[in-house]
Amino acid sequence: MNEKTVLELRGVSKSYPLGRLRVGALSDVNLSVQRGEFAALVGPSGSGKTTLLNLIGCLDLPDEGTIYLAGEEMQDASKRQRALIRGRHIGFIFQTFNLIPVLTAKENVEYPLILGGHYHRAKGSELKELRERPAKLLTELGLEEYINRKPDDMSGGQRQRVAIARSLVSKPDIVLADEPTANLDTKTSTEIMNLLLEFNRKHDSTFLLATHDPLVLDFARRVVTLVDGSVAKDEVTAETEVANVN
Amino acid sequence: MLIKTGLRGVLRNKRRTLLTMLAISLALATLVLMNAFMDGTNHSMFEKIVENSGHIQLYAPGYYDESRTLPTDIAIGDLEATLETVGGVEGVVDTTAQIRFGGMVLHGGDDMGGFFIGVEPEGAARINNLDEKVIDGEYFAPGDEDVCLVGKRMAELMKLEVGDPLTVVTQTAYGALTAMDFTVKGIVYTLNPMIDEGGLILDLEDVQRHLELPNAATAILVVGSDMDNTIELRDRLLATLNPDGPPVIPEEGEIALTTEADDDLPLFAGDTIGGFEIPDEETASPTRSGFEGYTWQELSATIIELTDFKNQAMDIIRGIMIILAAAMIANTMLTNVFERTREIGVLMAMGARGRQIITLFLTEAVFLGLLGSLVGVALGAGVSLILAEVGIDMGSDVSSMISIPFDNVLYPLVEFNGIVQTFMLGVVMSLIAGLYPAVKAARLQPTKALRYL
Repeated sequence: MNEKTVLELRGVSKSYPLGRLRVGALSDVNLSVQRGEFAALVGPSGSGKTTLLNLIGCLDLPDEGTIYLAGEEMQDASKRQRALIRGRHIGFIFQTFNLIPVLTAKENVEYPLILGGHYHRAKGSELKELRERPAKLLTELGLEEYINRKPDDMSGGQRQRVAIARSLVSKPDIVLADEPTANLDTKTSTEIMNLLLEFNRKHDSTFLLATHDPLVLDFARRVVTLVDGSVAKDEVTAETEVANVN
Repeated sequence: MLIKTGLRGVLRNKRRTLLTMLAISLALATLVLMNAFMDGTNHSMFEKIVENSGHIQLYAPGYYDESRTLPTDIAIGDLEATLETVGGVEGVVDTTAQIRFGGMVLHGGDDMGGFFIGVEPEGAARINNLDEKVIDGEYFAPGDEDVCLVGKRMAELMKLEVGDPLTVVTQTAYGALTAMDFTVKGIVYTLNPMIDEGGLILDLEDVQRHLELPNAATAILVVGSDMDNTIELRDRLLATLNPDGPPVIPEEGEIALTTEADDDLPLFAGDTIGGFEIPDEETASPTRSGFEGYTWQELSATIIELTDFKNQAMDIIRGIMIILAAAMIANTMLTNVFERTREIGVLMAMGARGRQIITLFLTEAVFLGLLGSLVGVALGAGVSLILAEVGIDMGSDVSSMISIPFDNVLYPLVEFNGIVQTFMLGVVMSLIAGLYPAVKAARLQPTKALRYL
């Protein structure tokens, strides 16, 4: 694992109980993601995309195998440690935006900084920069006028842009997006993908997007295909870093 | 931010919040009202008891155990000197003496058993406010002789009016039958069932003369500076009045006498001491040396026990109301948790730890409790204050119905400490009620929470 490796999965398997049986969701998955990658995770329904995102996102633990995130092994992390890892190293974008309706756009974006304890750890100019970051990000995403608006006063595209700002505000090592364009029209989806790509290029942010949307594939520079819980194909579709293929 | 989110979360579903707050407010308002009502009842009752009995009563040794029979042969002697000594004890504000006895009242062919009290007119006016309780006729005046005040109900039953003559048949302190003629000077309504139902109030001097108890009384009523701290004063009084320690209460058939050579006491009738023969029981002095003293709380122990029982019953009702309000909060918070399960998942995905989720939901519960409690105690205190001003008419003659001295118009008593305690109870209840939903939220599995629709 080199220093550019953000994420590495070695022999990861996961199954879920179904009555008396256990149903395999992932089987012996090996995957490595380098810093700055813009990768798509595709596959039919039930192929294990969401399970894989949950494991990478520290929301669940594998039955077997090891996951390294930013050099840290997550297998033995406690519930609290996994929460801290999520707050400091991972950004999430959801299909349904999942913004907190009672908070403004800026407050929504600021939330991960508070939950992850970023404000507590920062001092002086770093703290000042942190405090300014949510508004700056929203401005960068074209939401300057919506900073103090609540999600109910925004369109779907605007909400997803707030969600993107929220996922990036803590400068995570990897942003995991689960069907980020599923609830958007084509035009808005294109705008959102362009924004993600722009962030990927400008800030060297790493993205892993689980999707069914062919439009996302047009933007992805690497496509990992999951079939029946295993990596069936891992191909580089555009100029990118070297990926480890199962 | 967590607290801000929690506070704003309260307003997410305004109707539900309003209903929950209403439940808390009504529960708290009722509690404040109940407390004010109970405190008012107790205060009124205790005030009436103290008004009738003083803070402490002093008797001759052995009187208390026999007090149900209203004995006149267990009396305090040398009354004037005793009252002077009692009045000099630190903490004593006022004193007055009484002779209580029983007998028959005869008037116009009717007769009725009665409870009679000989009072010092001035002392009874000062301590018992007796002069204010005359509803017809007049109170005692200097120079009066053989006049009496009649309890309201007794006057009705015996068709007694001001100016009517009546005869009291009783025994003297020496056991001799005696009949005394009095003229009704006034009708009294004291809220003391014993007097109102069948009581006569007489001038102490008349009673002393008729019952052969010169310069004696069966009870001395003492008023101190604080009706709640009476034990210390009682102990101080008894230490002063019984310098040689507690008096020996004579057994039945014994007559305790105190002389300078009384080492062999008690003596019995027929014994001789210093060349004098001890008189037999029939002619022995009805006064005894030494004193026993009881606080108003001890004298009204049954009423206080009843009050404690009533308070316990009210505590149960209070508890039920608190549990109902808590259930309402818990239900609201559980609904919030279910409705926001996905949001909880998102917070967890963003790095929220269990403690932070608990803080978020507890903030909402406490905020609900704070607002609801504030409105509730304000409402309860407001209504109680209005009722304390106008009073609640309990109907006529409650004291006679319940046989406890009690004002017919109840004034709820609003105590600041009680209001603060009720408010704190509301907040703590909200905190406890919110704990389970908050912990439930914190224990959700992030993946399951995120899948929740």
